[in-house]
Amino acid sequence: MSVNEKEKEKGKGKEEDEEELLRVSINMDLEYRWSGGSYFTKFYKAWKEERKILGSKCSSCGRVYLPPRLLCAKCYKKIDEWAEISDKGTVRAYTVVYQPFIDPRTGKPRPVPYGMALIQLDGADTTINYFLEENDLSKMRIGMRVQAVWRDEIEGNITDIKYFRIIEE
Amino acid sequence: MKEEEAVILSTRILLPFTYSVGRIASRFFIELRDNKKIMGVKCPKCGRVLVPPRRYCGKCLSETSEWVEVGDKGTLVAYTVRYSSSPNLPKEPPLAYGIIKLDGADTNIVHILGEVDLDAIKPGMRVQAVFKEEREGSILDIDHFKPI
Repeated sequence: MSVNEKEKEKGKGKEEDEEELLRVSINMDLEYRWSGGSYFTKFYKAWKEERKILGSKCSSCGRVYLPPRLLCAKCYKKIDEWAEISDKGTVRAYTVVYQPFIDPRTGKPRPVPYGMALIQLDGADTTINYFLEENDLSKMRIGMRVQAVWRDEIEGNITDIKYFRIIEE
Repeated sequence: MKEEEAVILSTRILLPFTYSVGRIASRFFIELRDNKKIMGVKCPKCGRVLVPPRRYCGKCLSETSEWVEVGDKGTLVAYTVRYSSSPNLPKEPPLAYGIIKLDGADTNIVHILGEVDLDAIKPGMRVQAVFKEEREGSILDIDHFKPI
């Protein structure tokens, strides 16, 4: 962390107008490495090398998890099957964000407005939370169909998908 | 399932933020910046001198009001040496950090130890603050503490 900026804060009280008050700005910069574990590794390699989305499938209840999980949250059984998931899916919930939150990938506010949705990809029983191309609420509805728009270069990151585009089927 | 060697991923999170330090800490930093003075506050009830200054005494919860200047010299209470690097460190490792009790204070501050042989650091040694030439109102207006 570094203290890189100090600026005057305007006093708000009558008698405090002359008093100098400080603000501290800190650029928190956290760089770390983590092990994906065997399940995430398989998911990651299929994504990066074959542009495939893999979920893990519980052989007991049939539930398909995306991202893949080692244990079924319903049966508490170890999962040992895999299932390929489509990059098309159905929107289960959506919103449009107007508040420019800091994007931790860039450290800068993300331009607003942008659409986000919980998307159940075809073949999965769980939803993923991701960006929509559309940012007009009036054009969104629960149950609408969407498809991933991929970047040309695959880096092995969720950001390899630019956003999901509304499709007519 | 066939076990594969786990992939190691790198992640970087950037979280810039700004906060108001408040009236008490503002005065503390301004005295460092403008006068090279280290200021504390004295608790009116238990008499402890708190450095860095606090609006309330942590022991008796009294509101503090009396400002006192403490020494730029003090005694090293404890220390550690950091060898690993990470972004935005104030100095390059190996970097010695000390817990220092300044003369006249009843609490300790943490700061960097400099101009020192890392193998010769010992609790109980006397140290003195070395101020930066260019100061901006920050705890790092003290560059480091050196042995005396």
